[in-house]
Amino acid sequence: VLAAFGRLYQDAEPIDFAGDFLYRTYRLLALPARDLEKLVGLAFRLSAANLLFTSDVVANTGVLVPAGTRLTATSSLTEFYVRARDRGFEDYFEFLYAPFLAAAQPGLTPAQMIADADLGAIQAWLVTASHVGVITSEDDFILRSQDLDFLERVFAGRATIFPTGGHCGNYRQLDVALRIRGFFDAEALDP
Amino acid sequence: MSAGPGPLLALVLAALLLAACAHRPEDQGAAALMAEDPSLPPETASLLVMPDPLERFNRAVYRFNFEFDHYLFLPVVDTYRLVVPAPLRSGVRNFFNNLQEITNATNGILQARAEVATRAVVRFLVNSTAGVLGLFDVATRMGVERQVEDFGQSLGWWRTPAGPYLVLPILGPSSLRDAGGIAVDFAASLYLPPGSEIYDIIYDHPAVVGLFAIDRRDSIPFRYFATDSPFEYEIVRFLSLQRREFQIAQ
Repeated sequence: VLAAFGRLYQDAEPIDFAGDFLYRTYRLLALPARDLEKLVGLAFRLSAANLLFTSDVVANTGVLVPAGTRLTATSSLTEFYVRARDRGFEDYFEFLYAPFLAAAQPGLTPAQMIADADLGAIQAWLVTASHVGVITSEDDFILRSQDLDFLERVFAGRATIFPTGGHCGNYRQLDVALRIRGFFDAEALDP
Repeated sequence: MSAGPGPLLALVLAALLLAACAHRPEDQGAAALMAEDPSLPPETASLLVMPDPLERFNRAVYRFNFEFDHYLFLPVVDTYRLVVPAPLRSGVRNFFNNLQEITNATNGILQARAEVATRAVVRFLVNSTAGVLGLFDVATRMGVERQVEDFGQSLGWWRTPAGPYLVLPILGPSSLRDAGGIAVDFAASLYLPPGSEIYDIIYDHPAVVGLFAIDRRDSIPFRYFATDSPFEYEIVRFLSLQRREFQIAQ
């Protein structure tokens, strides 16, 4: 994988992050789905590391970076990267997000926070909100089958669920775009 | 920048390089986050982690480069792109690329690679004549592809280690070996024929040197802090050193 990656990368100008690099990488490497999943997972892991580290520093919580540490433009961040990398989003929630929210609203439990963030919390309103529609795909990896059931039930008549498209992967397809426009056109006629 | 593909791509690139390192120790509470994880052997610690003895200096220069880019270089490049039509810009790009063929040829010879050196010479001759002083890249259209070879690559070809990572002012990520290579290539173009003759004619004019600088920056899509990651320095360090290894092997 690394050799093929190198073949692609050698022609790029110094750190060519721009353009359709991911797609070209994917095409060139002809990765099996399994490796691609790993790749996407790792990209998210680095995202989580960014989130963990940044939140920790901004809120000065001392979870990753000892409280009171002064970081400047010349401070090495590599050791914090290593610490953050081996954590994940769940650690961000447990050690940074939940304590932060609990400090603002004493008595709020992590379980309650998760429930509050669920669409189920505003279900009663959603049922009546005719100007809110849903467009998604059956194979969107962030949705479980009970989530799809929920969407179809609560947004009865206002949910379009395509069989494929992944997570927002079909927005540039014509029929998807037309469906979205159609919803707003109908909405404009009948406010 | 958060909406574009750039950040995600950066993440994916980095992730690609981390492939072997996925590892999640059991949670042991906040205190455990503070401690170095003893269950991680040093070699599985990330590929993004590497010796960087000049890190403090490098990070200061990295910061300087961002500011130089932000307040001077990029505004000038953007103006250049706005004012000069694309065909003219591509002529400028081809012109300077063509002059670089002399360096490519010299280093092809230094690496004892006849094919690489020949290609550079052929490209220079074809583009300087049929390509009207290098303004048009006729050679590429004929199937003779450009291959950049510099003295840093020649040293690397003969197994000279890269040495410490070094961020050069304005020029950006490099290494001790490659920085020396840049100096040698520059000196050669100043004092050795045919580069020196061309240098006397062309680069003697400050405007041409300025145009050269603008064109080179214009050719690099990289933008500082576009990765949206606080660990951009580490990502850039790893990718730029990797890239040099690939160039040398090519």
